[in-house]
Amino acid sequence: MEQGRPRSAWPRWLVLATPADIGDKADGGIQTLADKAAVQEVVWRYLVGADRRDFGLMASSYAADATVNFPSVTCEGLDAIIDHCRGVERLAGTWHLVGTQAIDIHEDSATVETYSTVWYRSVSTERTVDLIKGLRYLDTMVRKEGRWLIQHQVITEDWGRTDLVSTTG
Amino acid sequence: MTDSSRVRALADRAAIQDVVARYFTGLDRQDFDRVASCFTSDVVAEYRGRVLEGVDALVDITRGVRRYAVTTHFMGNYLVEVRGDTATAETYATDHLRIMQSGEEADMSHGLRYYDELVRKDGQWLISRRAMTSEWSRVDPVAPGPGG
Repeated sequence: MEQGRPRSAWPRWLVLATPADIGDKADGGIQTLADKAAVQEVVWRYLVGADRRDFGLMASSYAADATVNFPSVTCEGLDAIIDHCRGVERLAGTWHLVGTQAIDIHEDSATVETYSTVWYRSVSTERTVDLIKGLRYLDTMVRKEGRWLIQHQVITEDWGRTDLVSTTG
Repeated sequence: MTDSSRVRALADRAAIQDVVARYFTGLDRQDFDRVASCFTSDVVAEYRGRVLEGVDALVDITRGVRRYAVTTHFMGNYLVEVRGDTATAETYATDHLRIMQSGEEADMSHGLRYYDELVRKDGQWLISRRAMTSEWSRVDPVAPGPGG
């Protein structure tokens, strides 16, 4: 990260929900827990979909009119988003590992912040290179017909480095 | 879905995650009874294309971790789907294996993907079928720590 550059934050347009204490809910918070599990699966589908090159799996995470702010470009609508994501096909392999995740459920909307360390591998006859990045996915999700979907996603790149790789031990 | 079925689904999901986590912690502690406790006795596993039949054959393979000074299996993405008394789970893990290479310490890492089928037996979730693939690997030299 550059010296003095503020850590990228939630966009200003986003009003963060204040999660109620789930223990105070009439059902003891069971619905909130079920929603959190469902929301985690949405994140799983778009990251694992990218690694498997399964763009149908990936698309199942997004609303048809979703918007994604990638680090370099903004894509509006599911087709444009998936077209952009197909860029991973140029790489020899990708690996999106999920770590820290903060989920706030507020009835039919949710805000989800996910850390992912990603490996992008390029292989040429001369060398093998891993581009490693610390990404954060800032998702605003909505519940539509009982399914959680991403309405707006902001992807920030907090750090990155390029490693020349040896693959023999 | 009723509250009680929601609770059941969440409890199953948590219990299945615990089985997978128990496997990795057993492996890294070299506690092979703990590793064995995650599987049915007739488990069929395929580790990087090698077919292993029965829990003893599977545990024997995992004893390979003893040749490393340290291993860490860092669990990441997981997806669990429960259908009654059976379930499927897919889990990512990045492993870090400390090796010696030409007299110097090095870290070998892999991106591992585990596909598991689980069954509920006597109230306990166990892995009955598993496929493990390695998606990538690399070896990095280890710089000397503070003080050399």
